[in-house]
Amino acid sequence: MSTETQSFKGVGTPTTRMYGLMAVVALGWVFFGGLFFTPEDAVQGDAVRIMYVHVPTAWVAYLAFIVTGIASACWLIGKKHSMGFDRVAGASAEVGVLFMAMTLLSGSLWGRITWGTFWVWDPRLTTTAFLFVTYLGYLAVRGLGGTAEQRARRSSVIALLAVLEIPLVHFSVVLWRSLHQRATVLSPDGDIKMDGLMLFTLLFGVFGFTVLFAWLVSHRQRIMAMQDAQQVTALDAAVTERLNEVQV
Amino acid sequence: MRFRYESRWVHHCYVCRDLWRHHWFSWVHDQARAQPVSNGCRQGQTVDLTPRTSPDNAPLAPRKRNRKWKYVAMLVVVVSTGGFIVSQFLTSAIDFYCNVDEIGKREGCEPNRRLRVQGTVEQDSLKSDTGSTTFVLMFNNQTVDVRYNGDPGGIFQECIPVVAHGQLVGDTFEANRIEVKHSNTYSEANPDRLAQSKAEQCSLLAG
Repeated sequence: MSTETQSFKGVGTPTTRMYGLMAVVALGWVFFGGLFFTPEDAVQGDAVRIMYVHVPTAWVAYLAFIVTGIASACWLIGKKHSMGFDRVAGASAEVGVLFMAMTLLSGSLWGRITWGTFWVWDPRLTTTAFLFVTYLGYLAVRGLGGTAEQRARRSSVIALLAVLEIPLVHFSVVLWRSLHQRATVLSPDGDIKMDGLMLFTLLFGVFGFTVLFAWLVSHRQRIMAMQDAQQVTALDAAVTERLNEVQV
Repeated sequence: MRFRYESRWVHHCYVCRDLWRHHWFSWVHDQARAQPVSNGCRQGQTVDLTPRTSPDNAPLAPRKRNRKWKYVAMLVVVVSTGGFIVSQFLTSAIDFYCNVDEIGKREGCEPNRRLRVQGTVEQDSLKSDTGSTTFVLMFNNQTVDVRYNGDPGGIFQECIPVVAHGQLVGDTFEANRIEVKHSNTYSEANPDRLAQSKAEQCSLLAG
């Protein structure tokens, strides 16, 4: 078996397996703890349990888009324009869009139970929806075609512009009057108004979804590396075939 | 053998070396190195690399074009959706967002226009009969009577902050939409403390 074949055997490594295991354990606790062990909220009742998915997925979506921005900046600034950065940016954006969709869906369900409506054109909700659509556009631009370098160049510029929306989304509840509540854990006064077990489960959720994000991104970017390598291999094969024709 | 970007310190520490070599950045780098980069051209030899348009290769072209059009269509949908989101947000912003104590005082909060009024439902003011709900909305010790046709839904109750959409008719705010706000405080439900905390919450939220 050649080295090349061996190296394409799979995309898992001990590190990614560790990420996967940690994600399963943490999210297992979030599932059981969130549904059975944490108390009901005094005002919202059982509806508060949606928070253990809604808040972590929102934070991880922010993280994913920030990673996309940083990787894109590294690609643009780096002298070698390493395609590894571009693949990390693309993989992170894909996972971020997935988490953002989960945030919007869970938030909509939570809103129906507490606010009495699935959706309002509130500053936080609107900016979040706009952020989601922006990154869908980013993914569409990545698929438009051209060489890998063209793809990386145009998508990195978009990623650097899109990441500027994140502070706007996060501080929208402070900048405008909003139906959405303000931050509890990251409140400016530093006073976390949350029951201990609720807070523990929420933070465990953040940890679990973060390692899930790391696991998904590391696998996805490797698959992208394999797709890029496949294109190179196909091109090599085509050139070799043409050379053979010339030589014959 | 040391890998590229692998420091001497990492190289001599077995655990660090193992972690580094299994790390994905390193993995990607190795993949890139493993790719065959063949040229095969002899010096002075030229090869025509123009893409073929022979019948053998013909099916490939439409497939590639379709894939590209799929992304173009996706981009059009994304831009349209973005425009829709912004227009909806701006349309809804026409109803000025006012606290109860700002009605008739703040610019944009004139009583003769549609408003979004924010305040807390005053304790013992909630009445529901024949499909209509009436309550007193309070903010900074200023109050306004609100009437809403229907059940507001959600976790609507006394001592909870709400946003009422509508217009002032006489002294009553006729609402056609009620949205319930909830605070950023999360505490365990405790029946013994409920009445006390409710009264505290009511006075606290009323400003």
